[in-house]
Amino acid sequence: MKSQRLIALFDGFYFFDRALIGGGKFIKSVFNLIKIMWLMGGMLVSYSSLSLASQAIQFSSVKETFQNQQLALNAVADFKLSKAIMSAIHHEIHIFFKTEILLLEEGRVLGTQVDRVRQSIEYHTELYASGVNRRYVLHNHRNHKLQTFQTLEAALQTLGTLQALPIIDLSELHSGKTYRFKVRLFLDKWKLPAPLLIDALFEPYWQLDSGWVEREIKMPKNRM
Amino acid sequence: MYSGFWNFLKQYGWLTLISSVLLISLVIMSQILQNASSFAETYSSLLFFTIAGIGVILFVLLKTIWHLRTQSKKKIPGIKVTIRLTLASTLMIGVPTAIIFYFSLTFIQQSINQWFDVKTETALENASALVRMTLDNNTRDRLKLTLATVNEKGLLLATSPVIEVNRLRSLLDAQEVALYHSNQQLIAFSVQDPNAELPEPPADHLFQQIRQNKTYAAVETRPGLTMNDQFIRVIIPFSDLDFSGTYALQVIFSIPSNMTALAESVAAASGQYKELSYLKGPLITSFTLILSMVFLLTLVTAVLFTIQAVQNFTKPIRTLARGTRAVSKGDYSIKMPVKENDEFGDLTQSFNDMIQRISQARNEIKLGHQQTEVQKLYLQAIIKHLTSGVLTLDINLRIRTSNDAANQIFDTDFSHYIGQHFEHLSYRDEETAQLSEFFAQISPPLKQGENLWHFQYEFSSQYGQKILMIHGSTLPSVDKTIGGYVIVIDDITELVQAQMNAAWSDVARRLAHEIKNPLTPIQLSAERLNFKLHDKLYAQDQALLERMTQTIIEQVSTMKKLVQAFSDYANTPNVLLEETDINQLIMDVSLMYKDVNSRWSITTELMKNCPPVLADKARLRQLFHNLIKNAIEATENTILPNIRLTTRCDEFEYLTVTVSDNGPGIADDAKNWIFEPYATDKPKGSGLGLAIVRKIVEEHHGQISLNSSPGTETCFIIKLPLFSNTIISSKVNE
Repeated sequence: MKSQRLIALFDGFYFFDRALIGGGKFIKSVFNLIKIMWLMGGMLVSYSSLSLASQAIQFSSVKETFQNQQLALNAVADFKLSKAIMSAIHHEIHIFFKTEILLLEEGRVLGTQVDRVRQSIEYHTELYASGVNRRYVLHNHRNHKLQTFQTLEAALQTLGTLQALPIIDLSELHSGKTYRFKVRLFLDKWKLPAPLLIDALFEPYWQLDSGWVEREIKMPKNRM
Repeated sequence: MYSGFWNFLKQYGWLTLISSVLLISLVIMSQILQNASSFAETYSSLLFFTIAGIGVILFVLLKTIWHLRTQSKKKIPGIKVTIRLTLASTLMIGVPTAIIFYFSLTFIQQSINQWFDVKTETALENASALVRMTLDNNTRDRLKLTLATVNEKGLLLATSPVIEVNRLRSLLDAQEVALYHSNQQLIAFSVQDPNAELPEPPADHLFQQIRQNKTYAAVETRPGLTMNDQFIRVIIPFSDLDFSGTYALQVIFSIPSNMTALAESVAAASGQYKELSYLKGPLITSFTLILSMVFLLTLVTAVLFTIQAVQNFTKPIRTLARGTRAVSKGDYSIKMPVKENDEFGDLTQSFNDMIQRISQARNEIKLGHQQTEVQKLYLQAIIKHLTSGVLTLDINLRIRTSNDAANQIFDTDFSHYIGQHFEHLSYRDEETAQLSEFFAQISPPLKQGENLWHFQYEFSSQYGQKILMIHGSTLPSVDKTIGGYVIVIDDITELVQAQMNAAWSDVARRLAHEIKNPLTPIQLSAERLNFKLHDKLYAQDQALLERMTQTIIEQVSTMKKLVQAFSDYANTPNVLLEETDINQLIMDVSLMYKDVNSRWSITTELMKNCPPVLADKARLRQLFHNLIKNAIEATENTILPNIRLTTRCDEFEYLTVTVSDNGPGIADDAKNWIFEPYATDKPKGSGLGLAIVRKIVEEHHGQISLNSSPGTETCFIIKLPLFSNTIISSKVNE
């Protein structure tokens, strides 16, 4: 829960970080000021909304596998969508979910734990309904795969399933070292239609976020 | 023109720039909202940018209002006009803008609500259903056609599957025909496109359906969900006597392009309508937000523009007010900058010219005043140091000025009575009471307005009588009438006294010369007559002769003494001044009169440590002898006569010596003549004793006065200049 709150707080920074790209010093300082204000506002909003939107996306299992000299990820996430969001989907609103995967290598500098990011994967999956065909469509923007489903549940199940997703080549990892997976799946509010932005920022049912789920991996001394 | 443009940019540029950018941003946001399919990435950036921009402008407005409040507290010139005009302009702009805002808001809400009506929604739903039904019918038709063709044409799929599959595709006009074994193994296929790769096999669940001997027909989509990418998949189970097991025959039909286009348009319209119908509420909220920001931006920008414009308008007023304030504080050197080229500029220029002229006139007046002051001081200095007393009176006979000499002559400090009527002055106190007769004398010529008048007047004060020559004249005024009076008083007492002394000295010298010479022959003749005739006469006649000659001899002797006294008075030997201890001198003289058998007593009260005086000891000794003799004679009838000599040296300039007795005292009017020669009320004496005393005192530059009245003691007060002051004054004179 704590990590979820922090995610909600820093969720607003995503927009600002994007806005900062290419900006000058003055613009950066102005945006930093707005960032602080945003953080304060975000704290209020997040604390009031998190209790209502508790665990709308939840990972039921996160496991690693070793296949073809690669470290892969198996994960299953369950969705509990509110009626408002389901209504939005049925009204053919395109909803973008963002999957973030981090592979961290544990390390220590002067007695302090400092993790090194070994791999970072981010991609969007677009979910929408096609009214004429009565189909639900998932569009994976990473591999541009398009899948249609007759039911929303089937679409969400596919969306929430990561099956043997290759993360990194085992040759890049060090035996005997400890690594950590961090997985997060959340609704990207900034990609919603413009009029929905205000609702998405302040309404609790739009706060769909699994939060960071971690799993520790101990690499064996003798690599397979 | 150039500077005006830059001035405009400096004052309004930043506000114009920010407002324009924010307005453009709001227009773009509005356009994005109207095209709701666009995503929020740009919109959200613009939203936060606009909110921040409006926040900055609001901050500037608050700062400006605070600045105005501070100026109002400090009462900066022109601030009241600025505030008043700003409020009026804000009301004039704000009220119509608020009305427009209200109606726009209502219009937006009504318009958006009117976009979505039930009929349109139903029509679109029906159109979608129609498309689905058409596609479903088409699918069913394709399935039937496939089944009929396979059954009726007697296809030999088992013996020559490749040829028959190709034939079947031609018969069905299909896009693709493929024959699979139920274990999902591809046996044969035929495609319309010769460059096509292997056909995509059906999904697992479809093979399962085939194994259960069920047909399948559906519209499916290939990657890219548009109608162009949709196709009809038909799968039927197929079995033959020659085949062992079940096979799946898959036929892919393309959907007609005209149907695809129509279905696509219906899908697009339906999808957009659904999306918009869902976004109705958020759209109203977003448009309300944008309209509110436009309203706020417009109002705040207008107010800021107004404040700046009003401040520019009142700037010349502030400049003039600053200038008048400086002038009211006496700063005539100020010159206000003339920046405007309009009526305000002319007004400021006129103000500068006026102040310059006032400054010039003021300097001239100041110069004239200074010259007048110099002349006045010059005249005052002259008048102050005049030996003649000068009194000036205004037209109402009130004292205006007096000099030191006037104060000294009348023994009155007139500076205390400036502005008071001179007739009222005589009733004020004892000091001024002695002036009543003087004022009575000068009142008639003053009241008659005589231009020039003069008379001699004998002024009696407590310290003696003074002979004054009074000159009077009127003073001119601006309107050439009488502006006041000037009275010049000359103390001619010493002059008259000197003239009298000279006359008396001449008389004395003549008397001495004319009388002294025959006295000796008269005495000798009387003695000779007595000697020659004494023996020739009878005893009775002898006694008569002797008595008569004795009388002649005594009278001649008395006359000799008288002549000697006149001679002494007339002779004025050179005074030999030297440093003299006056106390010692008094002790020496008084010692000569101290006799236990004498009927009088002499007492001395001499202040110790008295500084020396510059005096002729012989002359001063004569002075004290004369005064003591005078006192002894004055106390002849006193029971216990006492003569007292005192010295006092507590004054800075003079040493005071008093000789007093407890005789019957002298009448007040005697003060006026007692020091005159031959002025005595005694049966004996020459009447020159006190005249000689005054002469000696004057020879020593001292003063003598008498303090006496009948029934009280008589006291002669002599003031002799101290030795130190005499030296200083002589050095100053040198």
